[in-house]
Amino acid sequence: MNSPRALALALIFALPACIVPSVLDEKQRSIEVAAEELAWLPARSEDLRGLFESVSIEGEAAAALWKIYYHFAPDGTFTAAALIVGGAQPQFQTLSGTWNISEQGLDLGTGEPVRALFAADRLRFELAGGVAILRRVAAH
Amino acid sequence: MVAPAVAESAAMGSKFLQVVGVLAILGLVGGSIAALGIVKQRLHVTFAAEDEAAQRGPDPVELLRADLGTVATDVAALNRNLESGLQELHGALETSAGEREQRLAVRVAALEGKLAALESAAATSNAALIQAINAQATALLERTASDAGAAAKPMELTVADVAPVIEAPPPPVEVAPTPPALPPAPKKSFLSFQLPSAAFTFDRRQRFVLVPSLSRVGFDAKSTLHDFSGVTSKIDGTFTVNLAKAAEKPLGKITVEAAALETGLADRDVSMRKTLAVEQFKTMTFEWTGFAPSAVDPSEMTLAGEASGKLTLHGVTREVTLPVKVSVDASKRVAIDGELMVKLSDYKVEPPTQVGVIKVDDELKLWIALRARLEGAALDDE
Repeated sequence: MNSPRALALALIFALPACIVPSVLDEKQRSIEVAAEELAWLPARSEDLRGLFESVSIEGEAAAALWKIYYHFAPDGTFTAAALIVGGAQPQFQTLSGTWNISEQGLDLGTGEPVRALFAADRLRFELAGGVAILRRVAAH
Repeated sequence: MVAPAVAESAAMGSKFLQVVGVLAILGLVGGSIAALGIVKQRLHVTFAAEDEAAQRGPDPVELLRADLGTVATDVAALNRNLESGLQELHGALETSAGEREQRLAVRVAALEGKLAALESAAATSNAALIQAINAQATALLERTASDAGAAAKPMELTVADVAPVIEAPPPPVEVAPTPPALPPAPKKSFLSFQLPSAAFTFDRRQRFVLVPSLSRVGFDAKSTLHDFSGVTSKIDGTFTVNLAKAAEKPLGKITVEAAALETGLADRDVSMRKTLAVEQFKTMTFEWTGFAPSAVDPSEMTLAGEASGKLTLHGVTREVTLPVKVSVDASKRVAIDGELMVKLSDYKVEPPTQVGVIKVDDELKLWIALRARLEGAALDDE
């Protein structure tokens, strides 16, 4: 028997058993953004300074809020923008005002404090309408 | 004796008349001479006066008189004109008043006609109402009588019992003030942003856009060597649908960049792209045109069914039916997952082979794992 030919045949038949199939599991087809496991603590005044952008919005508000940005200045003022959907056309909405944080939460000038948590440059707002997680993209 | 006396007196009378006649003639002649003398004297004086006046210039008194005369003439003419104008005005006013009176009469006649029609309609309505009330009263009394075992005469109402609406309107009652119009639905507030009151509604025709970073399209293929998958997130697309009534004119298109498919092996990718002729057929598309739901749960915001449409691969388009499951995640994104078996030969794709021994099956599984988010309410033409 010709040994090279036998070796080739052996390789052809043995190779499939050595190569691991690369079929994607059905459960892994969708792209899931795993929630970060962070130790959230009540946000302090110094935690809020800088520019934040949303990385996750959940709840009823998520349907209308595509993206939000907040900039908190040390002088107690803030400016914000959001891309709102749900109407005939998407539209940007901007805000500006004063902010103050206390034990009751973050007050954006409405007199109704929002629960604000902070961890590793992440800011978490918890409201009745949903939960928004923002990450700091600039410290000033 | 009498005749001679008469003749004598007649002769005396004749003489007397002759004397009187002579005296009269003499008087006339003397008067004429005297008058001539007087006139001659006056004419002399008058001629002298005119010469002086001519030398002194126009007499201001005469001029004033002349002016006064002119003014008097003008005033007289003005009076005549004024009188004429007043007469014309009076005539015109009388004519206008007559026309207005005629118009008012026509309008009054029309209003009277409408009033009569309203009265007639009210009477008819009242009669019908009374008839209906009587019928109900009769039925009620008959039922009561049958229940009580005794007959009762139904109460009869007549038109006279009900005051006509027009002729005798009911006394004014104190009407409660109309409540103010309800304010528009308040918008929801989130972090001080004003959000639409109902952004995401399961039972509403809305437009969605795919989120490529969270979406994937791929295939699972079998070969004699081993099985593998090809995957890409280079996806674009939108669709419009009422998720609760997905069978009602769903509309959408998904486009996949063919050259972006990756299998995990660079050599295999090159072979695959060559087989799919991605340089010529750069995209693969699915045009969604129909949906046959098998399960819809609005409370859980889920549905399942078969999406039908046109699948274009390798430049060949075929009608396909894609079983899918749809749900809504915590971020209000629509998740669409489904899979479909296709034959490469149906799309004129030659299954790749290696050395004539390693061969990919003609049939492979196409799958989608899409995430889309609300873009807005459906437009009129969608």
